[in-house]
Amino acid sequence: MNSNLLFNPFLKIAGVKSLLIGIFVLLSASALAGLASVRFDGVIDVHFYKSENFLIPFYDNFINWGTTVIIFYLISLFTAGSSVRFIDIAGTFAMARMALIPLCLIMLFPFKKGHIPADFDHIFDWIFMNLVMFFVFIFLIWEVVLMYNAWVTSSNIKKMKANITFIIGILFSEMISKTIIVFFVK
Amino acid sequence: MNKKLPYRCPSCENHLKVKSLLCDQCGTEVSGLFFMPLLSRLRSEDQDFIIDFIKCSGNLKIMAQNLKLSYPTVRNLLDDIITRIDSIEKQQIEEK
Repeated sequence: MNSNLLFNPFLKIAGVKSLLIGIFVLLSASALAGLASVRFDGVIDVHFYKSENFLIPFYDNFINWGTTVIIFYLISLFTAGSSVRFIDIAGTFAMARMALIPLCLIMLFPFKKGHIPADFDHIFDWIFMNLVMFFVFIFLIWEVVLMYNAWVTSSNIKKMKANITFIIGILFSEMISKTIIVFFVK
Repeated sequence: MNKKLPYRCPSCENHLKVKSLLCDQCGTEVSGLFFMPLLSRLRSEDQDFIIDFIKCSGNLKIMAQNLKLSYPTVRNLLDDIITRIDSIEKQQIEEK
């Protein structure tokens, strides 16, 4: 498989096409997360949750996506050399969350629903849990790489300026999305 | 054999100038010191892009479809060429 497509599919796909794919990705990831009792209470957060409300991951995902799109679009107005299309930011950042799908599939493994128990009976339970967590981190890193490439491709900001604006964007998105989720999503 | 017109000195990387031109019909040779046209000082990939851009009537959406790339990728390529052209123009002014 072409590594470019894996880490930067936005060279080929952006605009409305990426938005349609991205919305499908958000809905799929949210549905899988609901089944696995996983929520995304922040742009780069993943936690188990105890609730019968299947819709919580849907609220989380769309709040996270919306926050990143608004924050990064605002940053692009002040930092990009040429005009940036809102649809490109919205679509590529939605598509960037495709790493959440395999992440949720991994977390469907049979942990006790809603939480990781403190009283694992066997050492293999701990090994298994750590293996799952390892893959969760791998997919989270992939998600961050996808978001970075979405940002660079949509804005044409390069090198150090891209790194700094991305870090600022992610930090502000995380703070704001987390605040919104904590206060409004229950 | 398709030969590429060199535009940079292989020794010091400076922009090359034209010293003589030849008419292969009558053998007349014109000597002097001429600046290479701006477009010929671009890389061949950039020249090809510009030709494709003109053939698409300046429509980036059509170019993106033809090149099988996304719209922002094609727009970024154009922005990079504009930056290189600006840099060459500055250099031309300094050389004069």
